[in-house]
Amino acid sequence: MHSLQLAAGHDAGYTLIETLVALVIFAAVALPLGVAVGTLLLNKNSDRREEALLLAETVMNRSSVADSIGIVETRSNDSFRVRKEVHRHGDLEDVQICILSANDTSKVILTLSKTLRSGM
Amino acid sequence: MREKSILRLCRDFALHDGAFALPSVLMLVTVLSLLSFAVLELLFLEHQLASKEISQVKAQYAAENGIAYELSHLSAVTELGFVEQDSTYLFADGSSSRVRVHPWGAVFLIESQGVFKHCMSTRRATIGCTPHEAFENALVLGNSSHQLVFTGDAFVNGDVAIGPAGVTTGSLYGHSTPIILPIKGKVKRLKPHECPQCSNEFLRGINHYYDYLMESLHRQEQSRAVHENSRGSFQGDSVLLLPGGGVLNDSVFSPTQRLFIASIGPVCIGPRAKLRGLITVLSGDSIKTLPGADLQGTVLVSKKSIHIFGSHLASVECLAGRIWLDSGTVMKYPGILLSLPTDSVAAGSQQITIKAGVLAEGFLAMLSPSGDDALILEAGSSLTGSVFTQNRLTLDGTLRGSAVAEDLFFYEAPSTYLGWMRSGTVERALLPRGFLTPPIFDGVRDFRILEWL
Repeated sequence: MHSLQLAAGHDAGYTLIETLVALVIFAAVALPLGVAVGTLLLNKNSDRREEALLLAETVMNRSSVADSIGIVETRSNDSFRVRKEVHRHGDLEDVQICILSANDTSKVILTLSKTLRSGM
Repeated sequence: MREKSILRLCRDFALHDGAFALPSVLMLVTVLSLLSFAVLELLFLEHQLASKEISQVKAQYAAENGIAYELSHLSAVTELGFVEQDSTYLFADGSSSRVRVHPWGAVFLIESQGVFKHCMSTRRATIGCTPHEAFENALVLGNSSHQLVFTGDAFVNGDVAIGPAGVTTGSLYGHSTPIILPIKGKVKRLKPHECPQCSNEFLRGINHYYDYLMESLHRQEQSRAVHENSRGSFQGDSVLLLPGGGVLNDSVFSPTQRLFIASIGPVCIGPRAKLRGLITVLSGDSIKTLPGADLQGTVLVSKKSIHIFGSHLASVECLAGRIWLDSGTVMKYPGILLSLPTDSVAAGSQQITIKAGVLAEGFLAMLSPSGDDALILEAGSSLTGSVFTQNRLTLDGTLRGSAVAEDLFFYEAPSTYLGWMRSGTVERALLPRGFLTPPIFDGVRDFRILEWL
């Protein structure tokens, strides 16, 4: 303790160095942390959207004109729920695939719409 | 002891390296900041790519939705003309599509450009119609005053629709006489108006369209101009003019836009020629393809005749007064042969002849005002598809599908036998369910995708 008091007492211009070192320590800790958080949020979001797109396309490709009209909601896996809406007008059938979050069904991740007609 | 030495080191550093510490720290902070921004930018880019992928899929669906809407619209039109059409559709998800319909041989080419945000996607297809209900039968004989007479090996597997004269068997020198009627199906009385009627408006449209194209090209040929991406009736398309006729003996690829190869003289497609894509060959004279020529997706239009000498055709349409498919020719679905009345072919000399050894898939139609024109499927030829003629049909080959003819006939010197069949077989059940025809008949049409391009 005595030696520390001595060091602080004799170094008048030491404050700048201390500040800079503190800044470096802050930057070295805060920036990678920010990057890591960003990675986690953005990357997870991108992966999730790509996964949702793949799922929506798969469900859409399985759809045909013979599908029953109305709304059907199914749980696809731990992450997603799939809501399929089929409406008919004339000889056309509008199919809408909604990919929802499995935990929060009010959160729509992705919506795809396609009009089907027999012979396409 | 150890604690003291560290403190001493710190003190020495603070006292003696004052000038060096600040730049080093600033540089380190800058490098770290740049690195962080780069990583975040990369991640944001990845995020944007995921969004763009979704937009791209939505644009593609918009293009397909446009085609679905246009097919529905065309199916509802009763007076269908052979003209170009342009429509725009807006969808609830914010996407849109611009759909253009062009005459393509005897069918239509539909092009749809879907747009969502900044992404675009184009889908292209040829479209045809579900066959007229008369083609549900294996054989329809339109001439109510003629009896259908079977002799030799003639056989029909499917229903036969005929007038009040009915069906019988007959004896002919050199042919065996069937003991029972060689029909595995019902013999139905042909109701009035059951025979399909050709849409005169549509036929006039075809003739007018190709006459107009030929006329425009003739004018360009006279001015000795060769246009690429020319204006006028060929807007957005490429035109290659062959003054006075010519030989195509090399590969021609046109995957993205339509290409018109035109001449007022005869055109010969040589043995090394490979024509792929949206190519129309127009000739004011005749068109000939030699053995070895390979055509895919091509439309051949001639004012006189088209002669296919053992070539390989896939999705090829032939429109001319006289058409021959010679031995060794393979024509794959959706092949279309359409004999039309033209100024250059004398009345009564229209013809479609499918020689022995031809394997064909598609639709054959003879549309002519004269009763002497003939559609001939020789013995040893094979067609999977449908045949329609407003005149006479010689059915000696194998037909996996259906035939609607005003009359049947064959010639054996010195007589012409009207209403007779001697060696042909018709197997209605072997016609694939998705078979489509050009929209040449009156009445309700149901347009569908013939082929995605």
